[in-house]
Amino acid sequence: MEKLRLTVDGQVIEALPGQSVLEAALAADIYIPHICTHPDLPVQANCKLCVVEIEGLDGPVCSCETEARDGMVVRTKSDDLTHRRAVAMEFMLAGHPHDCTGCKSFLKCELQALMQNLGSVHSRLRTIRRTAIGINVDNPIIVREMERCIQCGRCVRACNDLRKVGAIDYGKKGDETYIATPGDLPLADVDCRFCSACVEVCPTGSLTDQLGLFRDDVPREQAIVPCQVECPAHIDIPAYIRAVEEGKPGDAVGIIREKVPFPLVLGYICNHLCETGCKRQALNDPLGIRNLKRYSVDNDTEQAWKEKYLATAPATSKRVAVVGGGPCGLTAAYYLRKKGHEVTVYDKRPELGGPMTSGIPAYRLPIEGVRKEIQLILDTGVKAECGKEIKNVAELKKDYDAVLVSVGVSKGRKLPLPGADLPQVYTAMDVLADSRAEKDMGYLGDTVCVIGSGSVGYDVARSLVRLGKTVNLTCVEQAGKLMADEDDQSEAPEEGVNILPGRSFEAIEGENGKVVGLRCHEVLSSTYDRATGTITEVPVEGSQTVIPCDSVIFATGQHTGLQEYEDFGIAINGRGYPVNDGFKTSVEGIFTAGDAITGISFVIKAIAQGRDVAQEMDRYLGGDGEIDETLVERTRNPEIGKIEGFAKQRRVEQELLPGQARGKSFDNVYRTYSCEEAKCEAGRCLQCDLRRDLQHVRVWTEYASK
Amino acid sequence: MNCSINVEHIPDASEIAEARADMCVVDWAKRAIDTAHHENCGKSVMCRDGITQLAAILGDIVTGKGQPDDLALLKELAEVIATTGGCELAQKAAKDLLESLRRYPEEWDLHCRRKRCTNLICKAYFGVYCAPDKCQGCTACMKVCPVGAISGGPGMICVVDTDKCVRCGKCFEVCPHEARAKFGAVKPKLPEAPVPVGSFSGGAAGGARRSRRRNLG
Ligand code: SF4
Ligand code: SF4
Ligand code: SF4
Ligand code: SF4
Repeated sequence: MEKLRLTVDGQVIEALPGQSVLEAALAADIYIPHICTHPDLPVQANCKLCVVEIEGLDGPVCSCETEARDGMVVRTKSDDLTHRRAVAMEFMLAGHPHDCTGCKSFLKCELQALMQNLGSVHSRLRTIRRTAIGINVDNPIIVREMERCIQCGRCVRACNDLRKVGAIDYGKKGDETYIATPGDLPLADVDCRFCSACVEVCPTGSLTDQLGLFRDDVPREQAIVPCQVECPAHIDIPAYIRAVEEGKPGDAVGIIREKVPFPLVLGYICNHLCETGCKRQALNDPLGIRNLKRYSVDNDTEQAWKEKYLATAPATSKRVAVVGGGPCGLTAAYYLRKKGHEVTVYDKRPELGGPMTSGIPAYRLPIEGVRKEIQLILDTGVKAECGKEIKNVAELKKDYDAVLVSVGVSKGRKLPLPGADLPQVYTAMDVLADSRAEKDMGYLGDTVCVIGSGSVGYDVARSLVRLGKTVNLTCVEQAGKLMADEDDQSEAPEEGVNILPGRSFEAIEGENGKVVGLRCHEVLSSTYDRATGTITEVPVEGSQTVIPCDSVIFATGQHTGLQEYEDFGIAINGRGYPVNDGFKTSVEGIFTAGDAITGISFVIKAIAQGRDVAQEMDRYLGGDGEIDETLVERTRNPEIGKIEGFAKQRRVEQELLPGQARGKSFDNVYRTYSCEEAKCEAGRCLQCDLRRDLQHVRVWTEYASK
Repeated sequence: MNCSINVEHIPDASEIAEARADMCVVDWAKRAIDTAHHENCGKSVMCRDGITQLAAILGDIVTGKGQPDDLALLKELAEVIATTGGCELAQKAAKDLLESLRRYPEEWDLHCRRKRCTNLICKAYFGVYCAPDKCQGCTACMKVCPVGAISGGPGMICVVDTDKCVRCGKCFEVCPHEARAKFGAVKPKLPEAPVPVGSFSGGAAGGARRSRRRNLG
């Protein structure tokens, strides 16, 4: 495009046709004071601060609304202009609080910066006391302290011209104008979409985010999209929700796959930390982010992301071994393979996947889907050595440039009770693996006691109920303080699991070498002192009973099992975990990640660890550690428009099958969203990421020429 | 932005081309500014904050709270508003103010420094009284006074409580005997309380006029 040339304060600058004098000057790093103009909003020429003199024109004009022309000669500084700007500022400040220090925008305020730039003071004019305004906290998201408002109109243009919502406009009470909602109603009642564009563009402390809405320990740019911050893998959540809303579940899957290789697993069983951050919960309920993920995977017929997803960088000739093919190990293997390394995954089990294929029951996670996700990883060229137990990683390292120990915590732990060595006493890990492999579970007898109220205990109990067993789930925790999530706690009893909380266990009773019962008594409280290893309990007198059962299953913790090896080749601490410094072990080139350093955790955390360790290992192998890629191009429409009743839309839940039917089958207990439900739920998103598209306004100190 | 909404409500400067006894040029300018204040939409700083500021200063000037520098300040601010484009409403009102300031500096000075209004238009600068020689004690005025500032009764010369009176002018409209009058700096001699018609001889009509003459001195 042909460029224009004009002179500003004696300096020749270039401008694009159609650019205003202000835009051209700012682009050329020449500052002209202004406050009502924002680079993303239509020009309004309302603050009169950007006045300039143009040769051949009578009197000053606003540079924001004057188109740059070839050969134009512009002056931004003169005594008259200085005076005009000073008066305009005095006018604005006459109705503005005099003390900045108590303002939430203190030192982040464009008006305050401008006051410094122009040397403005509150002084000779009459103080204007406004009555039509006040602090407005009618909603939990946007604080409107309108006594700080200078009516620059940026928010009005953001809401009307940019967002096409129209929740705010200029209003008038008596002779006083102010920024108003229609009828002065609360924002929620005028169908505000809580996109916070108004907050983002407000140059003063009038519109601010409610305190505590965002984390302050991460950069603001990230913090304003809280779901993405809370997701351990930082999946671009608003983008995939948008894809669902637009009827493109395949794009949603592609967006998820940019950060994690297990969208299906996460869609079914993720503990959705993202939802704990979701900004919408301030209004009513958080978005069903996890459920939307499941919907996307279940409806992704075209898999358009596949080609890019499987593409790998040119071979590096480096060889990596991954020991342990759970979510962490497989994630790391995938990304290391993508970076061009040759990767082999070793797993002692007959199938890759760790808990995804051998622990989590089918009623929560369909195994066929997991296998497909694992197959895609193998399709990139990752090799698998299943059924092969690595007993010494240092030995293994001799054949590889780097080794990752991602063995997880696959060994169950039993409590040291008398009788715990009876043959019918098992750990949850073993039982879940057998159940998942559809083995004959007759060895458990008809009645079982499961000890432990965590999600693993519930997984066992709910699986065995489905196999027709009578199941008692018992634990030391009191009712209401059980460790599993609320869904497990409410759904298991409906399926027929008998919950016996608040017990202290004395012994497993046996007769002729066979388990016949679990002897315990009730406790009102029980506390474990980690330092001394002692338990203090308040027993209920005379409550001792024996729960008759044919077998006992411990779901009371897991460990790596590494201490069972004579010499694993790296230093192992007293609890069986690799001695680590970040991802490094005691031996150079051998790394560790996942549950093997964090202890038992959630799949998404293990995946996030897999991503992080892959980056570090790639750098160790001479790569750049860059594993982010774009599988789906993004488009974001800033014009979100008005939706009636938006703020009141409640969360759509997945349909839960009836309890009795659930207790008889390993079918998934939830029905995935219908297309309509998914769009409806996705439509509730506040699209927090749109705010990132709004440009930062540079204040005068950020310009070369002021 | 260039907006001329509501500009037709602002009076034309030609209205004050000549001095008239039934108007005050300060009050006239104030009304022009107040109209702009009332009509403004809030979108331009000159109108929203500039006119608001002028209205505040003018409000002080016509109520005895004017400050020595106010006239210079008014002129400085009005000049900026009048020569800044965008809002014609504000521009026209500011020009009206400048025109009044330019043509009638003495009258502005009188208002601002000496707290007087030559034609007794600005309410803070006049009082209302009943001329004792004209009053017939008909009580018509008492019936319309919205604040009950007038005491009297049938056949009694009525008396206005200046502190209570809000200078609304309603009594002027109803008095059948043209007994209502205004006074400026000097209050004429009047009965302190109502007395029977014909019994008061201390004062004569024209107290106001006398004091005005003295004011113009
Ligand atoms: S909005 Fe800006 S100028 Fe106003 S009080 Fe806050 S920091 Fe100061
Ligand atoms: S609230 Fe902020 S953006 Fe809106 S008019 Fe006031 S100062 Fe400008
Ligand atoms: S819709 Fe967005 S821009 Fe409009 S008031 Fe609500 S949060 Fe602000
Ligand atoms: S409203 Fe949408 S973008 Fe905002 S935090 Fe919730 S899911 Fe994320």
